[in-house]
Amino acid sequence: MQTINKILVVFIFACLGNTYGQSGEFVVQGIVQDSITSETIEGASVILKQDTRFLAFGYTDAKGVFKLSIPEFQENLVLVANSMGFAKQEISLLKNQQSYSVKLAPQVESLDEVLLQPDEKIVIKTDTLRYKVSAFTNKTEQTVEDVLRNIPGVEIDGDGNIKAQGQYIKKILIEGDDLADNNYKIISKNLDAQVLDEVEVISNYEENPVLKKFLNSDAKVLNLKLKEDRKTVLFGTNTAGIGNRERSKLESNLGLIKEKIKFLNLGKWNNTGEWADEQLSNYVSENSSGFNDFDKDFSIKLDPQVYLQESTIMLDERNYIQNKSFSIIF
Amino acid sequence: MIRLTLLICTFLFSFYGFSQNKTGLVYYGEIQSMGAGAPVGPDLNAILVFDNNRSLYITRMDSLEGEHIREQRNFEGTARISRTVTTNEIGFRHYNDFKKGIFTSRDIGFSYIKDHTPKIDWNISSETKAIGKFTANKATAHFRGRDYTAWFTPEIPLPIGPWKMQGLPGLILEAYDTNKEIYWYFKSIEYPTDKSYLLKPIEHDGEWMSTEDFKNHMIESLKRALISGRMSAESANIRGIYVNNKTQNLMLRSYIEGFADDQ
Repeated sequence: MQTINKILVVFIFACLGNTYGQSGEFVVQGIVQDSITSETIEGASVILKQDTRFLAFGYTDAKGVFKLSIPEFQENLVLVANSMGFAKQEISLLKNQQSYSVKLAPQVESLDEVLLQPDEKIVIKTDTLRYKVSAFTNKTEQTVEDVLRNIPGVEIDGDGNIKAQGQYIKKILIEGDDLADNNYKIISKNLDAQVLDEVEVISNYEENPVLKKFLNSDAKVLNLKLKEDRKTVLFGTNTAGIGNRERSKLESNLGLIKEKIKFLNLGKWNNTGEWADEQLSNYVSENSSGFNDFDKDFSIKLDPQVYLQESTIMLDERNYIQNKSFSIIF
Repeated sequence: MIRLTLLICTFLFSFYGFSQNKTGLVYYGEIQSMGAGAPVGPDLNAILVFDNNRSLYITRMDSLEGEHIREQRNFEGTARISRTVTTNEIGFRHYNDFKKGIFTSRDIGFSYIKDHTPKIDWNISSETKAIGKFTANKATAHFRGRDYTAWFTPEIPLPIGPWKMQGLPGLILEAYDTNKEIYWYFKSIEYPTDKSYLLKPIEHDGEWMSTEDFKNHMIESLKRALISGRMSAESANIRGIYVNNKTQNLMLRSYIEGFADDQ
């Protein structure tokens, strides 16, 4: 066996003479062997990489031989060889060497990775599509919005508006409770991705279960289910700033979710001339109207609590408003 | 004594052989939502059993779902779609003997197809993402009417994957086409697995079709279905609009592979 290998290596070197000198093309070839028994390994993967870029790849043939070619030699080329039952081997390539003998060390391999249980899947009930979040994340997500981006069928436009199956959603519920009403971006932009367990896309959403029977709503909402151990969550963003001439700014956007208690609290105070009501201006409280089961037209718009001083001077409003807005939603 | 030595030798040899070629099992989910524009179709269980030489992909099998399924289900994508979801005892199977380069399938209409392992011209990008504890690399390719994205892991250096998605320097964990109308996603892996008995070639006594035969068969069935659909619509006095669509586009609305006869 050893002699055959030697002959083979010599043979490869002999072949080298032919390929070398051809216009620009860089050819790497060689043999992959077991480092202990020196037996050649069939079907070992060989990848030619430059940093993270894959330039060429292949598998060794029945004699353990591989041959890869790229248009021209480049710096930092690495040859990666791997095979089931062996440890991966990386070799830095040299410009003037085109033949390599790669020796892989045997390694007992055992893999047992579970993302979803075999029978778990995207659950589809009549009106509900349920996604297991762990199957759609890569752990780099920070907010709920980042997670939603990965979920098939969910899109987010530039303004943070969310579409599910091509239709804008109406609300985001947390564990079935409506905390933010139409202003769901408070949740999608602030709640930590880590706490999510499942996302449900509910079609034909109807708040009133009685009306659901005879109203054919086409509204879509998202329902976020939280991880069992993360049912108590305090989330939000706080910004505070202070400047010269008594200018200061405080923004607080805080939510607490506990099994029985859920609240969302938005506060913004500044005297730097920023509108404080912007986060509430599109906040339409439908729960107080009594006609919440039809459409927005029936709802009463609650004015955000903004205190303005009367003034006759035609100044830009930025220069005179001192703004406070505060809301607590249970 | 000689017998005993022989026995020990045989035992050792078989053990060595076994340790070199273990069987693994990957669980996937397969969502087919052709024509829906989003992955909103039936989500069925699928498995890929493999060793160093071959892989077998099975889906739509009764035992994988835990029951026999034959029902009409409604899905909502860009349009409301009603689909018949069925499973059968044997399931759809794709057996890839990648060492020999032979690919056999038991596919739709219980067609048995035998051909070379399809060569897919993958374009590997340097984009990566984590799928469980694996680092997966992104690769894209055009294959039989669809543009696919596949996420494979070089950590499992075998050219295998779900369905006919294969030929990358690693196991394909996730793959989908442009609108995820066909979507395979990774659930779990067992390596080695105790279910190695699942890995066996597709059994068939009769004739095997070639991919070309299968393509013609699919195009014929599609055209027959179109004609009978129009006939039954006309007899019910429903007038439709005749859409002069290419066979491939029509095919892609109901089947993974967009076979074409009129390019």
